[in-house]
Order: sequence, then structure tokens, then C-alpha cells
Amino acid sequence: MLTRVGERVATGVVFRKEGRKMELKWFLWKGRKLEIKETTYMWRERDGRELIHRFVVTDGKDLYELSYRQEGLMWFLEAVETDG
Amino acid sequence: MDRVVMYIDMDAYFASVEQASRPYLRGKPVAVVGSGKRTVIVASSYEAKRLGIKTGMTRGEAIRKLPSLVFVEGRNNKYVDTCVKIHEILLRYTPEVEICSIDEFFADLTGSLLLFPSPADIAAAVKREIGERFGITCSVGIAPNKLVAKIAGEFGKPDGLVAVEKDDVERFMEGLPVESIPGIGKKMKAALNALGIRTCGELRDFPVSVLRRRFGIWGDYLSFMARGTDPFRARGQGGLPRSIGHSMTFEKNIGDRVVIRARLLELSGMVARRLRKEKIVAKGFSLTLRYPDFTTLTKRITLPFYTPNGRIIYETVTALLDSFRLKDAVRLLGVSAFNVRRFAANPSLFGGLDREERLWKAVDDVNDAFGECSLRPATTLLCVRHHWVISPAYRPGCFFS
Repeated sequence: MLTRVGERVATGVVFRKEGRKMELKWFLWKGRKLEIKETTYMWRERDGRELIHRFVVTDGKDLYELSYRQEGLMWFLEAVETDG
Repeated sequence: MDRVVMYIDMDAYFASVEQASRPYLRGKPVAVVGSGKRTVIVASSYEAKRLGIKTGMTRGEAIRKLPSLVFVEGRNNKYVDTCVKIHEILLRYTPEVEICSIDEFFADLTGSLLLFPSPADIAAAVKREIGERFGITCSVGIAPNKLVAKIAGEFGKPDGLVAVEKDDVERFMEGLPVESIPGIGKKMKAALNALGIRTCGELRDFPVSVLRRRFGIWGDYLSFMARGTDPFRARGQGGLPRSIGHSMTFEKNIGDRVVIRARLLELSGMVARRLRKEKIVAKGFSLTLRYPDFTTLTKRITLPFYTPNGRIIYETVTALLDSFRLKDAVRLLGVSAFNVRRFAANPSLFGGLDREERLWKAVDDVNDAFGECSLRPATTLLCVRHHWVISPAYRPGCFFS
């Protein structure tokens, strides 16, 4: 089941290859620190001039869609998806 | 040096991308649809295809056929971005890459063979990288021309790699059914079967004069293609699409002509924006409408001049609408531009269009900066915007340039 969230979140990210690759490690949501086990997909999209990086990640149980807005340097939790 | 063409076709592309990003969908029958209740299936996974799910089925038809089918809302940007990244991978092997559609590419490897061990090595490396980066598979065909490369790619589906050497082309083609040739659909297949032709070998050996009498110039093309010869001029990097179109299926049937016109204004604007983005103009336009019983009607018109102008497109398709006697409300409307050519700026004699061109340039600039539909005609406020999913035939332009 997909639930839209759209909340700003704090994330832990490792930048590799001189900033060309982002590796998500964790994010804080509802007072919890969720460890990211795997990034299953990532893509870019444009909202006008702004470039948005989107990531689908899993904590091993549920799927989360995170977005990184390049102009404002902000991370958002866009949606949570639970199986079933 | 003999020409070597590689054809790359992503396997069940939209559905595979969704299965890659949602691990719990892997191995399950999945159908990609738009967000509306009445959208049709635009792509399905191999698991779904094996169980009879086809592109174009409605949700209802599909669920009756396969109750365990999982519907996933398509994400256009995800597929376009992956397509752009695959294009970038291919460009590392050759600059001669043509994007045919969002999930199909041709790469001319002729000039790259001094740099890499063999075409099969390039194909294997491309397949491996696509698999590792995106978790999806593709089928690859390698041959001396685009026609045979495409047939070889389709032959090896899914996840195949089929290479056909120049000397093996006729042998490879001989036993294939005639419908393996791109462009031969159900009607042409039936017509050929009626002549006793079922395989490419039989088509090759059939007298060309008889084929020409029956199918006109297509008779000659068919005979060429059955031999594995590509009769069509290759489309280069800057190749033109054959048509550009948009269609919408509505949540509720629309009977009010005012709302239909508003929708046509919206669709005409979308088509015009794509024409301007790709720097092309068109003189052929079509209007498609579908009734609730799925009867689909299309009317086409060719103007005496080329245009990228949304107002002219709108006026053209509304004139086509007026020529219909609507027997019912409509569930789908579509607007397409065909007969296209590259835009060459001509100085206007009367100045009127220049002003309008400047207006649309300004509208495009605002929408480029602040997002699609930030600025649009007020009439389209009558239309409830909904999420739509692109057709797999969509050919991305330079999305991130």
C-alpha cells in the first residue's frame, strides 16, 4: 500500500566519486532513525529549472521514496510503501 | 569495412523498472497503468504476459483475466531518465546512437570495431552494465543492417543476444514467419497467407511482379526485406519522428462540447509544445475520439502549410470535431501531428504570427523555469488535470540538457 507523505526529513548521505554518486545511509522520520539497507532505484526529474533526484530505498521491510531538491538542498520523504 | 548495427530493446521496460525499484513485485504479474480508474494497460511484466495480459486492456478486462494482477501507476520521469542513462552508456561505445523509442535503440558499431574486440563483446558489456545499474534486462540483435538487427533482437527476447553475420542473413531469415518483419501486421500477414506465403523464405522466392500487383511499391519492399535487405533510408541522430501526439482517457465520459473543446485546447497545446521543443513543424493533424463502447474514430487533415502553432492546431482539430455528429459522450480524445519537417524560420510577411511566436516563446520560457502548465490558457482550467503515463513509443529528447 502506497501512502503519500511529502515531509521534509534529515538524511545521512555519503558522497562518492567526487560528488557524482550519492549513497543514502539513514533518515530521520517521526523521531525514528531508519537505516537504509538498499537503494533499489534512483532517477532524476525536472520541475521547471529545478533538478530533483529521487531514490527508492528500503529498510529491509518497507519501501520509502526520498527526493533531494538540488536548488534548496532539501530532502523530502515523498511516500511510504508497504507490501500488501 | 562491413556495416555492423546493434539493436537494443529493453524487456517489458516499464514493468521491469517497477519490479527493479519494488523488490516485492519481482516474479509477480505486474501491469503499468495511469492513475485514473479508466486508463488502459501500457506495459506488463513477462509474468503477466504469459498469463494473457496484453497492452491496451482496460483494468476491468485485465482483472477478470487475472485476479492476482498487480497494478502499478506509471512514473514517466523514471522511464525517461533511465532511457537517457542507457543512451549515455551506448554513447561510450559509438557516437552513432539512435533512440527509436523510450525502450529501443540502434547503435552503429562499424566505426568502433577497431577499439573493441567484437560486436558481441560490446553487446555483452552493455547488457551487463544495464543489468547491474538498473536491475533490468534487454535483448540485443547484431546484424549488417537495422532491419535484421531488429528482427534478431526480437528473436532473442527476453534477455537474448543474437548476432547474424552478413553471410548468414538469408539463412537466418528463411524460416522466420513473415510477421517477424517489422511492419507486417495482422492484415498484411493474412494477405500474404492467402497467397500461400508463410515464411520469409517463401516471400523471398515469390515473384516480385505478383507482389507488386497486389501491394504496389510495398511488394518490392517486402521482397527486399524477406532477403534481409533494408530498403529504407537510415534515420540519423537528428531523425524526425513520424508523428507527435497526445491522448487522454477521462474519468467520466464528456458530452459537453465546451469541455471537449477545452480538452482539445489542452491537447493541442501539449502537441504544439513538443513540436516547438523538438524544433519541428507539421502540416498534418488528426483528431481521435473514442465512445464508451470503445468505437474509435479518427479524422485527419493536411493543411497547405507547416506550423508548430498551438492555436492553428486547436482550430484545425475543432474543425474536425465539428465535422463529427457525436452519437454519444466521449471517453478518450487524442490529437496528433504528422507529416513533419525540421523548422526553418521564415520571416513573416504580415507580422501577426511573429507576435504569437514571441508569446509562445515567453510561455515556454516560463514553463521551462517553473514547471509544465505553470502558465496555460485559462480555458484549460475547465479541465481537471490528472496524472498521465507516456506510451512506450515515446521518444525522449534532450531531457537534461
